[in-house]
Formats: sequence, C-alpha cells, structure tokens
Amino acid sequence: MAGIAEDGEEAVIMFKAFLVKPKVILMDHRMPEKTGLEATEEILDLDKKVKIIFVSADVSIKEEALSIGAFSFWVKPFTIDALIHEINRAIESYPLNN
Amino acid sequence: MVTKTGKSKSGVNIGIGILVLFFIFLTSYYNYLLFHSIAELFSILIAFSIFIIGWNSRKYMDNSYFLLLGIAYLFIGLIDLIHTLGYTGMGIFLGYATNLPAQLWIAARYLEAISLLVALLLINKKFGYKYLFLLYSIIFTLIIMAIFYWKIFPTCFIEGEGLTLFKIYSEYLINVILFINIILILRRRIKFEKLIYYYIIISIISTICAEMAFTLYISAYGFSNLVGHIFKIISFYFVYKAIVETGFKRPYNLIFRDLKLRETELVKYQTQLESLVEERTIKLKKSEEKYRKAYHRAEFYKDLFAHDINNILQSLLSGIQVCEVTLDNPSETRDSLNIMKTQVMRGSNLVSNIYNLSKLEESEMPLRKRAVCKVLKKSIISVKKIDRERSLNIQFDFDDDELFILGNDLLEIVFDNILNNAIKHNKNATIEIKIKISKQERTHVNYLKIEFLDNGKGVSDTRKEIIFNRGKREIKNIYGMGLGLSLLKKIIETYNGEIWVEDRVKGDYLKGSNFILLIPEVL
Repeated sequence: MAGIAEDGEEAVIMFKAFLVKPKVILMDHRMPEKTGLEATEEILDLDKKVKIIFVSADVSIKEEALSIGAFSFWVKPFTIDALIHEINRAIESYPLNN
Repeated sequence: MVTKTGKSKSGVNIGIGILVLFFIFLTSYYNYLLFHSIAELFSILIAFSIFIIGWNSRKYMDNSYFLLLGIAYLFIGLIDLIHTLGYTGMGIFLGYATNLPAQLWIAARYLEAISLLVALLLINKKFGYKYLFLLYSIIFTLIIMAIFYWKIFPTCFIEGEGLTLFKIYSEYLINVILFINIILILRRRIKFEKLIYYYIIISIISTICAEMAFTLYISAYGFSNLVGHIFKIISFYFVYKAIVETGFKRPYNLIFRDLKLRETELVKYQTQLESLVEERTIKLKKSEEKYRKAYHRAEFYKDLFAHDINNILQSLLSGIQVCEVTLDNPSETRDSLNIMKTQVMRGSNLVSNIYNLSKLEESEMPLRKRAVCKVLKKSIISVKKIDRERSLNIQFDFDDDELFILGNDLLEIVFDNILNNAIKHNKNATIEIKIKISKQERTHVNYLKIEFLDNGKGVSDTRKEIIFNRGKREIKNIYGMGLGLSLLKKIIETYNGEIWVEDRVKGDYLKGSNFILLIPEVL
C-alpha cells in the first residue's frame, strides 16, 4: 500500500509527490478540504492510467463519479472480500507498459 | 368630467340659446301667430326626433322606456301640430274658436305627463313595440274623435269668460303628475346617465312652469300665454338635450346605458377578482416557499440518513469481518458473526430501497432503452460473486442482446432483488434458479415475459397478492423487509409493466415460486 490520505487535498498532494504512481486508489467522497470527485478529477488529469475505485456511502454521486473516469463505484457497506476482488480487477486492467 | 373647453362651449351654447329665445320672443311683437307657430314647430320637431330615436333603439334596449316615450312623443307631436294648425287666427279649422287649441293642448299635456309617469313606473319592463304603437294610435284616435267628431271632450275655454275650471284643474293635475315624475326620476337616477337625468328634471320643471302660466291666461294672445310657450320651448329644448342630442352624439349613454352599467359592474368585479387573485397568488407563493423549504429539509435528512447509516453499517461490517479473521475461536462465534453480517446487509438493503423508492416517486429517473439480457447477465454475475456455503445454480440460456424495454438504472435492482430473494428464502443444499424469457402479445402490445423459477420455500396463495403491498406487517418475515417487493412493483409499473408470483409447480407452492415480470418490449 502506497499510503493513506486524510482528505481529498492530501490525496492530490501525495499523488503528485509519489515518484512511482499508485495503480489503484480507493477514493471516498465526503471529505474535508476537497471532495472525492474533485480529487479524482485532479488525479486523473495528472495520470489517466490510475484506477480510482470510489467507495462511498453517498449513492447520489455514482453517475458523476463514473462519468469523470472512476473505474468503479462501490456503495457502502460492502464486504472485504468484495473489495479485494475489485482491487484485483482494477490491477489486472492497469496498462502493462507503464 | 367637464373641461375648461367643455365649460366655455356650454357657455356659448347657453348664450346662443338665450339669444334665439329672445328673437323668438321678439317675433310675438311682430305677429303672435308667427311666434306661436315657431314655438310649437320647435317642440313638434323635437317630439318627432324623440320618436325616431326611441323607435330605432327598440332592439338594443332591455326595457321599453325610450320606445314608449318615442311613440308617446310622436302622438303628442301630432296633437301639438293639430293644436298649432287650429290655433286662434290660423283659419284652418273653421267654426272652432279658442276652445279647440285649448282642448288639444290639455289632451297633449295629459298624454305627455301620463306617458312620462307610466314609462318611469314600468322602466324595467319590456313591451312589444307593435302593441305600444297600437295603444297610442287608439288613444290618439279617441282624443281626436272626442274633440272633432263626438264633441264630448270637456270645454276648456269659453269666449268672453276665459279658461274653464276643467282646464285650470287639469293644468294643476298635470303638474301633480309631473311632480310625481320628478320624485320617480330621483329614485331611479341610476338608470340614467347623470347629464340626461338633470336635463329631464329641468325639462319637467319648465313644463310645470308653463302649465302654471297656462292657468292664468285670459286671451290666446295674452302675456301669460306667451310666457307659457316660452317655458314650453325651454322644456322641449332640455328634452332635446336629454334624448335627441345624446341619442345622436353619445348613443351609448342613452341607448346602451344598461350595457354601460353592466360594463362598469364588470370592471368593478374584474378589479375585485384581480385583487383576489393577487392575494391568493401571494398566499400560494408563501405556501410554495414553505413546501420548498420542507422538501429541501426532507431531502437533506434523507441524504444524510442514507449516507451516515451506510457509513455506520460499513464500520460494523468491517469490524465483523476482522473478528472473523482474528478471533481465537472463530467457530464458536461464527453463527453470531453471520447473523450480525446478515443484519448489516439487511440494513443496507433497507436504506437502498428507501432511497430508490423516494427517487422513483419524485420521477427523477427518466426511462431509456435497456437491453434486458445484458442487465440480467450482470445481475447473475454479481449474485454469483457472493460467497456462500451452499451451491448456487442459475440457469439462463438466453443470449439475445436485442431484447429491449424502456427502463432505467433501477432495472438492475429489480433483477438483483428477485435473485437475492430467491436465494435468501431457499433452505436447500443446492439453490436452483431458472430464468426464462418469452414474448407475449396483449391488447396489441408486445411484451417480454421474464420468469424466475426457484426451488425455494414458495409463497402461499393467501400471500401472493399482499407481498407486493408496502406496509403489511405480516409479510415482513417472508420476503424482503416489507419494502423490497413493493419497490419492485413500483419500478415495474413505471415501465408500464406487471409483476406477480405463481407456484413453480402449479397447485404446490412448497415446490418453489415463479416470479414473473411482464414489460412492454421496444424495438
């Protein structure tokens, strides 16, 4: 695991700082400083290959999240197994020639 | 409203009127017969003009006031004409002295006073013009016959003696009738336009003055006779102003006064209505604002509820799963942990169902073309992913991606719910679900019939209807949370479709259920 950010702002700063970019990001939505949607847009602007799995209790943003480029959207609550399965799926779909 | 120009115009008219009257008066010194003829012809012309206006307005009036006056003045004018022609010195009706014109005068004045009174008393009535004309024709004929043929009309003037008592008392009686006319006009003033009302009053007062003068004359050429005729000219001048001039220059004030009154009433009601509408609009806007605030509050709490409860449930679920992995004796606690996990997922389903139901009721999900088989396959994959202790066998052999219905994103929820329900209420070691798709035509509409046959515990006949009804307590433990199936029904109904349940084996519900969806197909 590359790291944990406390909020959307920190997520973007951390992503920029990483020399080796993470392949998969688990993104929440309702966070202080910057929302998950805003952070997703900024991160995808920096690197379109990264797979952002939205994990949120707010189902109303599902359409928007997928439209701005999120890999998938998972509504809480979900099991750990389901999450692991989805992370593996995201990694498998990551482009090989990085 | 009288403007400065209007006032000066009136002043000029009055000046001209006085001048004309003076010249007519002067003619009496030249030749009294000339003066009399001019005076009478003036009133006769006005009388005939009143007839023309009254007669031609008969179709537009709600009452017969002006028609009656018009017809009356025609015959009054005729009697006055005969009076003029028969005046002492005219030499037309030989053998008749001053009595003849006096009799004709009284007859005309009686007819005038009584006609004015009757017209006012019956001002709201409408009479047939033919009957009125016939009536006045008969009265006129009777008067003429009584004076000229039967000679039964009372004597009014005796040569050498002067006016008879009949003549004098008749003049007083005529004045009484005219006075009653004034009172009636005062009471019915609303029926008249203001200026017309004043003109008529002045005319009647002038006639009263003329009649008083005519009680005093000794000679047909005497001063009081002259004064009486002057007042008659003034009287008919104001009748001309009231009826003739208004009828030509401002017909709406005369003929269409009722219409104008109704128009005024209408404008008044319109103003009241507009004020009422404005008041109600303000109230409506206030209650709309209240509703909008209440709606936003409800939306806010709904979103907050859904979001925060889901977060809580996530924490619970994650905690349970950690316990599963880390507890020393997981087998002892496995059952409890499974129960807790199940309850968390039930809570999550409830939140999701409520959220979707509210969205559906707000019509926030427009319909679009959905490929049924594609969505079904996705649901099947998702359901199969869930780890179970028992084996799950879902049979779906249909592979036509060209089967479409008009639906929305909730179609996935429909299929997920039906499949999950079939799994949840099935205690067999192997859960069997068979999905069939067929086509059906009903009342010229093509439908897709999707059947979900399971080997679960089934639904008894008594419960087949009520499981789709929300809020029924007895069905809570059978299927869904009392909300899931009612949500499915609502979703399918927005697709103009139907959902119901039958037995997998007809007549034996214990062998499993067949959940059937019937949704219109689109090409």
